[in-house]
Amino acid sequence: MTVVALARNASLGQNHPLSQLIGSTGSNVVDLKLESSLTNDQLAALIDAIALEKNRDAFARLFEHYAPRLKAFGLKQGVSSAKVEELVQETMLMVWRKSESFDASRGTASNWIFTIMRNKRIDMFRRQKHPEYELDEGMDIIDPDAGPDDQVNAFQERARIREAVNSLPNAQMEIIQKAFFEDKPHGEIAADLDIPLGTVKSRIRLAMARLHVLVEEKV
Amino acid sequence: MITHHPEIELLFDYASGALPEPMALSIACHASTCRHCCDQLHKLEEMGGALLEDAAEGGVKASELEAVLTRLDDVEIKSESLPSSTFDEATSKTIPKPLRFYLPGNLKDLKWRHIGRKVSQYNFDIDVAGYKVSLMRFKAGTPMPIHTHKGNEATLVLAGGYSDQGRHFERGDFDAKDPSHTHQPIVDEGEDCIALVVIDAPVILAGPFSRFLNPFIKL
Ligand SMILES: [Zn+2]
Repeated sequence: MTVVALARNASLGQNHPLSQLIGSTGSNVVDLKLESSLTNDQLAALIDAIALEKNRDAFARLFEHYAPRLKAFGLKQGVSSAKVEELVQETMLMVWRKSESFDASRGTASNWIFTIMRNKRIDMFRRQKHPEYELDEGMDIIDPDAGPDDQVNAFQERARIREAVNSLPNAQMEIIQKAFFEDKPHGEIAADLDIPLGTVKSRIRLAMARLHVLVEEKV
Repeated sequence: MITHHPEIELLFDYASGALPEPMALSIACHASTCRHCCDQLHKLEEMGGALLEDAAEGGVKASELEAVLTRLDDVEIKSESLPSSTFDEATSKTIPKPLRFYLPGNLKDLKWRHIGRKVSQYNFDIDVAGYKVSLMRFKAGTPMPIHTHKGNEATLVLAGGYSDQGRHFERGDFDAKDPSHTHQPIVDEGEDCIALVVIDAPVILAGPFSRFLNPFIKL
């Protein structure tokens, strides 16, 4: 369980994002459909509620939010409509099982669920594992020049990241979409677009820098 | 201290899911010990999160939620979990977590294949066409055999270090070489050098992921 999750749980009160979402007694999922859009904090709180108390209402709410998006994302990636439901189900099942590994200080709920779906898709359709990473402080070989990872915290606000990604110039967006939707490695993206590898590299770098600036500006 | 990192486009390919398992493993191992690349990956994965959040909503039936809800209590088949306590200190100090899932036992008990008196090799059982993943152990203070490769080679130093054409590599450093390199690295004095080495043989893959191009190409 994460420290963040514990902190959230300790402060679970009327102002807790979850209390408005599912009510203190856990209200019916159907009532929640009117909730228009969830903030990143609310989504994170739902995952934490699953981690802390195996809260099925929280899971149902999370499913309502993500299942349609996961399905659309999978279809964009070329997963057949016959298989995409299985992919969504398997992904959401992993969300339930792995909820304790979610760490809101590391990234958004959407980031976390994207990586679960990515790994599931590779497992299902490529029959390969996608090894996960986690900074291992015990390994004691951290680059001291890198400094604290405060850059990550600047990426927490979901709305800002979406806005920032959406405002990327077309040339950068094109590469990101080819990578994430068409599952293409950078070498193939360069060949597809008939641009040098160096251009792909610099566009990735520019996109990273721009996202950082756009997100920081609004802090 | 880590001074050699994977190129940004390799991290990008990891984040999108375009890397084959052996390369994804090498990147995950590096990022587990490098705060800088760990942060970079978080950011790159946020791109996926933002695209997921923005995906048009695909229609999801109520029955799909019900189907997942009935599976929540299924007992998970844990094939992946492997307690680190099963390894001795020398092994857990050397092997980053993502690699431990592939390791059948302690370093000293592995079936090392001896190549001359100064080099030994352990081949991992990772069945991905066109790739070979192994641990290499080089005796301290000796030159490695001169070699070229038909394919590309990604080396992640896990213990000890070596110098190659004026550059020095030590624990945590990532070293990618294409076939144009001919080299004779010199292993540091004092400690044997252990490295995770991924080689891609020039094999054309078949199937839906055959588009994979050279992930090592230097820009
Ligand atoms: Zn690094």
